[in-house]
Amino acid sequence: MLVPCNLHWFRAILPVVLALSAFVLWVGLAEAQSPDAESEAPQLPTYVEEEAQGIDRMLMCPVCSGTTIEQSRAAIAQQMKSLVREKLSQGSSRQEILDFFVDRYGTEILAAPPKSGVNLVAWVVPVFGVLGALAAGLMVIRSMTRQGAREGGDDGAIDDDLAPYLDIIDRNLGFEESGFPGQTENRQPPDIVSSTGSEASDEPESVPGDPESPIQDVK
Amino acid sequence: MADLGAISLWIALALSSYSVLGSFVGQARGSVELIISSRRAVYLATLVLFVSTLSLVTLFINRDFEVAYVAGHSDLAMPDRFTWVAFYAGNEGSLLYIAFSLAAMSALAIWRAPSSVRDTLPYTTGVLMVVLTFFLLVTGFMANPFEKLPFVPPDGEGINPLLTHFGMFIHPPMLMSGLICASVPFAFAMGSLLGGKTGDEWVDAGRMWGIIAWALLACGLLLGSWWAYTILGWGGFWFWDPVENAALMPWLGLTAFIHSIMVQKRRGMFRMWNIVLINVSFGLALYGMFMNRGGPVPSVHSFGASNLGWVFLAFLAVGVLIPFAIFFWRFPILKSAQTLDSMLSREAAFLVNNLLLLGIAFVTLWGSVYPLISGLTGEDEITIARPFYDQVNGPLFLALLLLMGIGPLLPWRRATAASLKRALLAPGTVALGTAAALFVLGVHKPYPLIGFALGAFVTTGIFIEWGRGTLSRHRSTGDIYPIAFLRLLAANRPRYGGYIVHLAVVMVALGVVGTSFFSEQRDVVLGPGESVQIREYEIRYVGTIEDPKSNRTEFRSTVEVYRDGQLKYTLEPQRDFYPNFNMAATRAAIRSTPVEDLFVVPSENLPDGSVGFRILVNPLIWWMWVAGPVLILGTLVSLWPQQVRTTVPAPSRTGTNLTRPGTRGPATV
Repeated sequence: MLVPCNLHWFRAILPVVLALSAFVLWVGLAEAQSPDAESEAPQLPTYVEEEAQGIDRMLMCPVCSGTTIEQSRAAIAQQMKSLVREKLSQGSSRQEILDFFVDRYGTEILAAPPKSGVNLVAWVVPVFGVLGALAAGLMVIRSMTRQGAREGGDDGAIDDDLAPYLDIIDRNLGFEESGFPGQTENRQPPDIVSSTGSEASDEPESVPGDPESPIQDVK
Repeated sequence: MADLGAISLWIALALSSYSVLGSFVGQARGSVELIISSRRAVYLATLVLFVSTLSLVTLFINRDFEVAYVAGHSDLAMPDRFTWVAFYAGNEGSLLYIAFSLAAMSALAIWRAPSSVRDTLPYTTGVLMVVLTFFLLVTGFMANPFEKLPFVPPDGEGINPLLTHFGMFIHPPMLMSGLICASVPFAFAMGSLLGGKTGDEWVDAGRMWGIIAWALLACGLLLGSWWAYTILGWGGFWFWDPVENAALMPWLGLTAFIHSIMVQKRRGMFRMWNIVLINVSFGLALYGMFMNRGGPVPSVHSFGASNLGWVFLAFLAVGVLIPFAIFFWRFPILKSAQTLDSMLSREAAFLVNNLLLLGIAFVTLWGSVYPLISGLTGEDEITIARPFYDQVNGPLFLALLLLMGIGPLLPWRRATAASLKRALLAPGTVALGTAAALFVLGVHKPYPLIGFALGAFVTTGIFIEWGRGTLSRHRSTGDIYPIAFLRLLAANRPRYGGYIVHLAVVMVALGVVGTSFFSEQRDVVLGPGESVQIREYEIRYVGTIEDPKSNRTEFRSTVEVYRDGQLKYTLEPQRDFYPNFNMAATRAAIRSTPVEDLFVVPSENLPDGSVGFRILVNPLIWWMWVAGPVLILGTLVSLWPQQVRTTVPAPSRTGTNLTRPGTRGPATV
């Protein structure tokens, strides 16, 4: 890939950096969300009700349609709930209890598949699918942006040629920033971030009526 | 009466088939008469389906048990007002309802179609009527609500008790209309493609009907949640049930669409993308109807078990493949008028928003179908339920919330670093301040901290925009502030209506975060006089009145709620047992405040007079239900036509749009 200048290089890796940090955050949050049971449960004579309810929400009711034992009023769900509480007060950890039910009923008793073995597919595909789509989308945006900049003779040029006139129109229509009545806008190539750029076109304070001022309409 | 209904149904089928043929053939041959007559066939089909619908209602009111559907979904004990619910308690009535509502919406869409789509309207009509014909075929041949029994039973089987709830009066019809309404923007897009008009002609009509479908689905989803909360008796409102998911996915697709279509409207960009989005949304809506009406998976919505699955699946395949085939056929002429100027622009933010929304839809779809795939490959049977969606979709929703805050603050085309900094400074500060304050107050979980901070971010951004606009209006026109504010809203309705909807979304987010992370729940069995403590409430069970009715036994319990040792109020949760269904319907007693709900529901009445209660304290859930009206208000604002003439984008519009909305003088509210 051509690297015309530092800014381009930075832009090239930006999506990757964003995607990576999003992933880290994601995993971190997912971990943070499921607190470890081991730290609390063992050696306690009784159980923590919140922990028990957390386990209830992870076990499906075997005879109901699509509900967890936490929601269900079926007799078997009630039995499973008391079993969960009994095992918690005997000092079992969340994982041990879940394993116990998996041994009896199979993996489908879990409300979400374990994050291991073949079942990891269930978790990895959507996460990477979404991250991939986001990365691809950012690439597309970037290439569209570049294309816009490179096709200087086509669209961009028209815009830039029109810019002074558009500014005059803006001023005459009272769309200019009220604080800077005489400001002339220098439309610069997109890669150079200009401090006097075209942002005035969308600022509500400058627009009594419609703050969207679609410059394109003039074309 | 049953015959009248059945005959009207068949006439409607004939009319819609005629309209399909007439539209396409008429357009191909350039026959104006044929085109007009097939358009009129749509109006007539609507009328005829209305007659059919009315006859089914009459059959219900007369309790004409000779008709199988009436016998199966009502009985003599059912109050007449539940006729409305019984009507779509099963597949047959639902399909008739869907057909009628599609016909009515098609007629309205065709009648009120803007002149910009006139050339391609026959194609649009044809596409809509293909969909209608499908539904009428299924209704007529496979699930006819007017089918008669060989004998007349003395009484009907009765209506499913879970459905006798106010939420049920609106939730299913809204969702079904919303799902089928997705056909309308889809048909405009398809018409545009088939007619070789690949520009922006269909945008206004597509956007309007897209928003209507979106709002119908949104209200349907909220009402469904409310129904689940008050009647299902487990204290939650959303369970990522397969059918809930099936309704959520088209809503997500449409959300992406109604954002992205604005980019095309304003900037002439994303033409292909919008067509892809509406195709996807339509496909997801068909999938929704397949899940809902075809009943392929066990779900709390399995009210009408049926054998319609494969027909819907086939239509789903056709409804996804053919539009994409047409899309690829027309691909070469779908070119955007503009290119993106910058990654820091509203266009780019909308594109990322679209990807996130589709991402959530994909995760949800994946969760729904992966267990089937996994089952087919002979691996372990697995279940994908709430914990999965919470963990995978949760962060995505947070990212979406962030984008909902940033997107509106970005200008079209290109933001500069300075403008971005200025726009984000105040909302960012408020967001960090909120997070810091909450942290000090003892909220240490990462999700809620981020969620509340983002909510504050979005809200601040919106109010700053409103404040600035109002101020400048006040300064330039001298209007007093409230008038200036209303005129500001009126001046750019799509935008400010959108802001109102964003506020509603923040309210929903508050409710979701509040209940997901800060609710407390107790399942207790209380004898008369016993009490239980939850948070600062002491709940004392007084007693239960048992009241046998003709088709059910009502158990009305009384509980007293004490706070700081003082009696605050009395609640009367109720549980009705229906022996015919061997099913109990509960009415939770909910004391709702903006801070938190106290939720008491009896889950079991034991023979010794004690009652198993489920008691919850659900913080902030009030905001979720209030979000509904706010959302409707925002949608209406953004859909309300500008009273000053709307410029129709014409193919050659050199210089025509020079007058900007703001120069038209003060618009009236």
